[in-house]
Amino acid sequence: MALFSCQDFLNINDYTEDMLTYDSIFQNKDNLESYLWSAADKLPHEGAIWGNGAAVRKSFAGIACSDEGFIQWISSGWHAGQLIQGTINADNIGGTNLYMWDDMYKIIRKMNLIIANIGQCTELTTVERNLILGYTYFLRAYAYYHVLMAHGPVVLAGDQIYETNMTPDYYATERATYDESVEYICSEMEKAARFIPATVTVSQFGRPTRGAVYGIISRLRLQHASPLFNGGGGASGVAGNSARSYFGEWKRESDGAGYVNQQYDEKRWALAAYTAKRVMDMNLYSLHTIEADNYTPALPAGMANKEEYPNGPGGIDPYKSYSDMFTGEGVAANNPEFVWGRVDPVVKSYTQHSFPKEYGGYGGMALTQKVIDAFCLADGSDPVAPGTADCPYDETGFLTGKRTFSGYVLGGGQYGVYNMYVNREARFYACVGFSQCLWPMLSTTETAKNNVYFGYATDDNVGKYKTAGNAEDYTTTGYVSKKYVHPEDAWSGTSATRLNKPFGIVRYAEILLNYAEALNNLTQTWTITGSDSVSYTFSRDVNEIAHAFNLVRYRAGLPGLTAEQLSGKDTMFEAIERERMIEFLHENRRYYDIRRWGVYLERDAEPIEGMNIEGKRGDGSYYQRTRLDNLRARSRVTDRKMVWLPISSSEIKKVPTIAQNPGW
Amino acid sequence: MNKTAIILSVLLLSCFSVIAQNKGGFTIGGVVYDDTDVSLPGVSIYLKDKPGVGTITDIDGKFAIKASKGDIVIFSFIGFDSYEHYVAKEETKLKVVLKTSSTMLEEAVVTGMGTTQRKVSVVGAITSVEVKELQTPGVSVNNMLGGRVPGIISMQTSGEPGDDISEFWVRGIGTFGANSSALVLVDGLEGSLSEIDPADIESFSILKDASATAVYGVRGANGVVLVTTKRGEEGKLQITGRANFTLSRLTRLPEYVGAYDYALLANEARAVRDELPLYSDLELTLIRENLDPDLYPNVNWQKETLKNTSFKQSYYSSIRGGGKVARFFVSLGLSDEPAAYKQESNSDYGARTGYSKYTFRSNVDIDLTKATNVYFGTEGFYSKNTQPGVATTDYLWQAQAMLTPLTIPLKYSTGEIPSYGTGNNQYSPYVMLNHTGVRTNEQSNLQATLALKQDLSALIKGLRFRVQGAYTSTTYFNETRSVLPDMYFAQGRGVDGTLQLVKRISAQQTTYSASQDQYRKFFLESTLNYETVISDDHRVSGLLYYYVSDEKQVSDVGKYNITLPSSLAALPIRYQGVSGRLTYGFRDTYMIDMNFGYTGSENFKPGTQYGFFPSMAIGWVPTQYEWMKNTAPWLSFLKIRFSYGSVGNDRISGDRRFAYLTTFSYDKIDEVGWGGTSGITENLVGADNLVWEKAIKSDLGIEAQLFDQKLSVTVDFFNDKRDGIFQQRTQVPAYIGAVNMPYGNVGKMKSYGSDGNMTFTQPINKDMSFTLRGNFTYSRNKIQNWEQAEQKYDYQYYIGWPNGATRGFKSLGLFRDEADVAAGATQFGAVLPGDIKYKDINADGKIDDYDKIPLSLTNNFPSLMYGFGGEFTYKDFTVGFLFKGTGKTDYYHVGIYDSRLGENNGVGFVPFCDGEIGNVLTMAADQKNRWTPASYSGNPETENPDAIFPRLTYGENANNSKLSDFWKRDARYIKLQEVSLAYNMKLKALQSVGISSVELQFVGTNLYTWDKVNIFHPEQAWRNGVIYPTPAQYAFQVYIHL
Repeated sequence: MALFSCQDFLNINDYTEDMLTYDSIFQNKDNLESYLWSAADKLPHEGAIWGNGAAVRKSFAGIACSDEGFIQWISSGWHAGQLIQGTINADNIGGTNLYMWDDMYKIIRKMNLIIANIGQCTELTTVERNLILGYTYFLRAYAYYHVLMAHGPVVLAGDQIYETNMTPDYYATERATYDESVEYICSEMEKAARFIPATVTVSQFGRPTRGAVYGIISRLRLQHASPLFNGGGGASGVAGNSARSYFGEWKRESDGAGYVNQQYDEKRWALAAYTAKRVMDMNLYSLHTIEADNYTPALPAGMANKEEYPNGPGGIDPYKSYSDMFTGEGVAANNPEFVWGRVDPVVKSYTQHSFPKEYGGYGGMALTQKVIDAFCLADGSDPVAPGTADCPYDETGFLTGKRTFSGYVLGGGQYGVYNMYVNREARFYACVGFSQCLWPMLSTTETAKNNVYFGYATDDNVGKYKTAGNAEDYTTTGYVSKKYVHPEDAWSGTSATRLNKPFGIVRYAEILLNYAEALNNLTQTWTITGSDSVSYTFSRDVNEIAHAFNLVRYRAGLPGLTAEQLSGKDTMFEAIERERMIEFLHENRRYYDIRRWGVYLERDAEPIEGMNIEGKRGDGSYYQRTRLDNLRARSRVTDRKMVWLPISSSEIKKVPTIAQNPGW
Repeated sequence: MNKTAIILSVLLLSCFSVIAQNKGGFTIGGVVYDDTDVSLPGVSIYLKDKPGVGTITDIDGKFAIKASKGDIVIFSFIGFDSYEHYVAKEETKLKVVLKTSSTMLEEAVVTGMGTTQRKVSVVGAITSVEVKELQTPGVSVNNMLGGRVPGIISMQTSGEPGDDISEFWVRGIGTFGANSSALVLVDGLEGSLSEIDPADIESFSILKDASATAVYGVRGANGVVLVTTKRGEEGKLQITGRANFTLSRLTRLPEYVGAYDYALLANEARAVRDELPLYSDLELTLIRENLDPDLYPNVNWQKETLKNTSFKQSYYSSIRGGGKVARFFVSLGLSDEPAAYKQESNSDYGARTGYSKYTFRSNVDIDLTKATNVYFGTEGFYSKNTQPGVATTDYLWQAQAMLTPLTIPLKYSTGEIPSYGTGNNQYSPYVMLNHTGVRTNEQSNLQATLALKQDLSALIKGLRFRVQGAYTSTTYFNETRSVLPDMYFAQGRGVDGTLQLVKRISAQQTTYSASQDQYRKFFLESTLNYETVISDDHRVSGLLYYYVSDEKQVSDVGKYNITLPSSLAALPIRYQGVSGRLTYGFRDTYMIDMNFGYTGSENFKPGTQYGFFPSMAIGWVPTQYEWMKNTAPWLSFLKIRFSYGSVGNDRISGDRRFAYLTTFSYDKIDEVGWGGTSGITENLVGADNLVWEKAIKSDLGIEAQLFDQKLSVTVDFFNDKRDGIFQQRTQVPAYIGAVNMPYGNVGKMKSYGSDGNMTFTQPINKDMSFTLRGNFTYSRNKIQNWEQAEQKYDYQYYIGWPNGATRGFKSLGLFRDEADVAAGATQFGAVLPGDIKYKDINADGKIDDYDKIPLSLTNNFPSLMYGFGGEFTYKDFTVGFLFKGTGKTDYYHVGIYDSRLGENNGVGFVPFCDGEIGNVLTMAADQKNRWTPASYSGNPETENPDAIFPRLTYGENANNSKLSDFWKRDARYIKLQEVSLAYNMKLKALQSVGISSVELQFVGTNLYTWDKVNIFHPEQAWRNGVIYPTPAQYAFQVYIHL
């Protein structure tokens, strides 16, 4: 009975001492780091861009909800498919894997807890402490960044750790404006960048570096300067009206401030130029190139500039230089183009959606004809018949025989390759799976499943009606995305396996194109004082633009910008839009680009086209440009409100002062 | 059983101890009678001013005491005025007549903390149950409360032996939190009523209001039931034996159609939904003539499974006695109740399904000194529940409702055992009972108590101190020995007519599995009591109480580790508290009680573990005034009392403890990304500022006795406001970033109602008297706050509705015709005329969850329960009866989730509910009860708009199986709960062999019910016969007093 005499009879502290508590987490360095990394692990996989989050935490609407891709899937898990079909609304968004709000704020709270409690950890040296704080500030800002990109203006919690069990009045709050959100995120990232090291070891590949932080800032600053968020951004036509027509009347209840700025501020472009230039000036990054070898095709005879890269497209293998970054062939950790990248299992698993059902895939990750047509011919000319002497272009007839270059095989199958797909630039072959394209699938030891030419016509081996089971598992356009598919990759057959694949969260190519775009929008000279306290000046210098832009063009084996393109802001914009569409195909940039440029409604409303998958190869009826007219294509929704996802109505009902996004 | 009885007697006799001896000059002896000339046993007799000398009257009222000349012998008995006899000479045939006490002032009531209080001075709402009323043969005390005790609402959901214990609530359900059950204390220790033999009970009280329960602090909010068991008494040894033989008969078993009717209806069900008929004309002939009992059997599974009657025996004996130094009470009881299943006696693996129980109790009091008393009590029980090896007996009832007469025969004519279906539907009930082995659930419980009582009158007169410690240990042991024979299914007949059997299940050798669980509890309490009367007018008493308890159960780890690490989940559950009571009474006319509980629970954050629960009660007895006695002599007693105060409840939910703690877990990090391979993350967010649920209770009561106390009435009105009911928050916004919603004290609910009772006693003449009794409990509740995820429509919120309000679709009857269907909203699947039409509440053209509205205030839970009964006594015969009933109680035949079934309850009611496995009630075979299209029946009248069953469906009908008021019925009932006939034999011949009296009782229980349900028992109606019904029982009981 002595048991009962103890005073703290009801106190269970003795038993909780060896348990994890906030105290024991923040006092112990290892626990503190575990807590930090565990929070980072709650982020969405950046590579989850195909809109099915069933296998991962969260996913991005990216591919399925822009004009660079088309899917039919709307079953559970395919929330991006549901979004583009208009069945996602504020009531059900909360249950989708597209919804960033809840999970990102969980990360933000965790980071606030670290910031508030890091003082408890006496084991840390100042350097270690700063390093942890650096990651903490960045992770918090990066979580906000995801909220901003998906949902628009954020609720800023600052350093506050909210009580968990209070009455509704305690939780009343309003959203920050878009500008406030961007400024907060950028300033927090700037703070973080001071503590985050410029490089990480190969074994830590994936961990953000100072360049990663700067890269995300560059992206954000460019977005912030863009027409939709910058009072029309000096753009012409519909884009110039976009800020007003999307957000003109959307004002904050308490102070009447517009949630999205309506005043054009050119300085933002200068800031965008600076933030891109800052990454370039780190001198750590360059585009990924592979030296030319015997299998590298010769540059078209008529190409004016054949100088060695980086002064021209000479001396490199453009196909390998581009493709090896995505397929898993190259060593990602050493790739100087990855300003921030990581090995992403989601990318690997999603290659399955490009393989036809008969070969273990789901087959329906379609590319649109718009994308096909955007790829240049190998000499940089547009794919318009009859093409050029070097690169004839024809939308009739087939390639006879076989061409092999850079390890890629064009033609050589039982049936010829349609001439539309011949003589294209290297990135076309890296990205597009067209009818009668060879799929090596070398990892399987079943020879019947190696080196197969997939044909998508009804009389072909993997046409629409060959598909058994799910009636949505086929390409609706006759094209599939092949960008991340390695020749070894196979989903059927004995020992079939796939290579691990990196995902470039921020590629140096983006920084270069960001820089070119920012400069293109300047009409005067701006002086920006950088984070290093040095002053930088920026103006629309065509040489600077061309230099940055052409690095991307040359790497693809293409000639540089023409003087005509460089001469005008609008012509340059066209070049930038097209280049970004091609260069970043299925890298989740187009979804945001068409929005920030204010052209979302126009671009996205264009009809989806492809080959006629109801037609036959035999009579040529397959090879007709065809507007998609299936159920999903007809009910595809383009709506101004879809510039952002809604905030869950449940959150709005809990805190009515949080304004819903316009239109939802 | 003879052997057992002998062993029992020997055992009890061996406990025999010293009988007190009196010394003195004369022997004073005789008989004590009451004023109706009935002898009075148990009257205390003692000598005035000579403490320690005394005796009590025996069973016949006889006594003998030694006394000296000049002594005054006092005869005292509760409820009677004391009588004093001056000793002048030896008298052995004294006839003492005790007069019924005029005021009953001295009647005592057990009020909490094991203390008794004079009834007149009690101002809390306390129901004291006459122990005599609980001495009827029954399954458990739980089952006797409803309809017998004011303030109790009870429900018996099963009649299966071992599972037939009623659930009960004091004044209904007052909270929608995790725990709404009353605290049951047996001799001060938390216990279970079902484990006590009623004959062991000395007193039984129910504490209902804040004043009575305040001292229990965080545990008392749902009411307290106090039981004290019998203790030894000085005087003649009292030996009681009881034997009970009960015949149980299953009544109201659902009736299912035979094979031919089944086949016809199955064809109709398919035809009316444009499906091919199941049986051809040839097959129908085979079925009707029963020509092929292998492929087209006609089995009445009920008949093959049930015996309809079962025979229960129970034996009990107790010995009570003692002397001056020590007193004891020991008892032993055993009962064996087989279930009414039909089992083959020659089956090797048949389970003898049933429930048996053994109980014992031993209470010993020892006076160490005049002022010091030690009490040692032990009690225990062992119970064993036996069921078939393959599944619980629930499946037997499911099979009756689901297995059709046509599916499989009992056995194939070639001897093979048949099998069908999947899961537990693979075996027929016959196979389950006879061929699948045995499972047993054993429970044994031991409890030991040691108490020390010290009279501190030497210090301060009226001061007493008591300390009690207890240890309880319970072991659960479950064993299964399962076995399966080869089982087959006949697919048809070969060309030569032989049965084509396919083996579905291969024989399985006996497999054995077992699980164990253990529970233990330490308990310590101490009380300091003070009681005094100052100048005859002022009665003052005080009580200070301290208790501490510590309990744990092995299975707690598994129960709580969903949310807590095992090391925390396994921590003992602890309480600690101090409470006190101060009472003051002036001339028994004005009374005031002040109580407080300051009790703590380990469930809350250090610093906020203790709660203070004060309460107050006042009482006024106007009949104490002289003028009142003069002006209203018919009103012999009137008391008005009022109480107000708070009580708490600390149980959060079934699987949450320490909800204030934020818990963490290690998690694996994808090996890509930021860093680390293992992380730490919050598992659950702890709730800041979490406290107990609090009840503010008020009670107004009136007690009266009229017409020479022939009529006594008590009525209470109560109001109970619960605040801070535990709920997982739903309205905390996501932007604050909590990993999940914490628990909070956000729920609010009130309950209110009234309870009362009335007794009328009328002596007719010397030999005849009768008593009538009645009681009622009425309790309603209303949710005042329920934090709910936001809803689209106002009617979806719980606030403003009673707890458990049933929500479903509002039906508009059956669709009349195609036009009606076309005009209606989109419902579930393709609907046809004769299907249920639902009201489109939100008028959006489709019926979905948004159209669900509250249909009933409660589901199955009565808000009014009442009982009335009486006794008529003629000489040694007593006839008694008891009716019990409930007020309007809704239940639903279809759409309520039944956890035992694992699906909605409609399977027992709706024909062909699961297609091949869905039996058909004979009710459905009656054309007037079902809607059949004229196109099928050829008769437009079969399109009966008032039919009980909509257009038949073979298989589940997505539309008609929804919860709607189409299936709503009223379970209100009045039941002839009990009829008893008792004869108290006091034959000389018996007395000559030492038996002082023999009492014979015939008791019928659950005899007849008046209700609207008719086909099932009303309390179990919603289960549609998929449950062991409450049987009617006929008991013969013999009491032998030695």
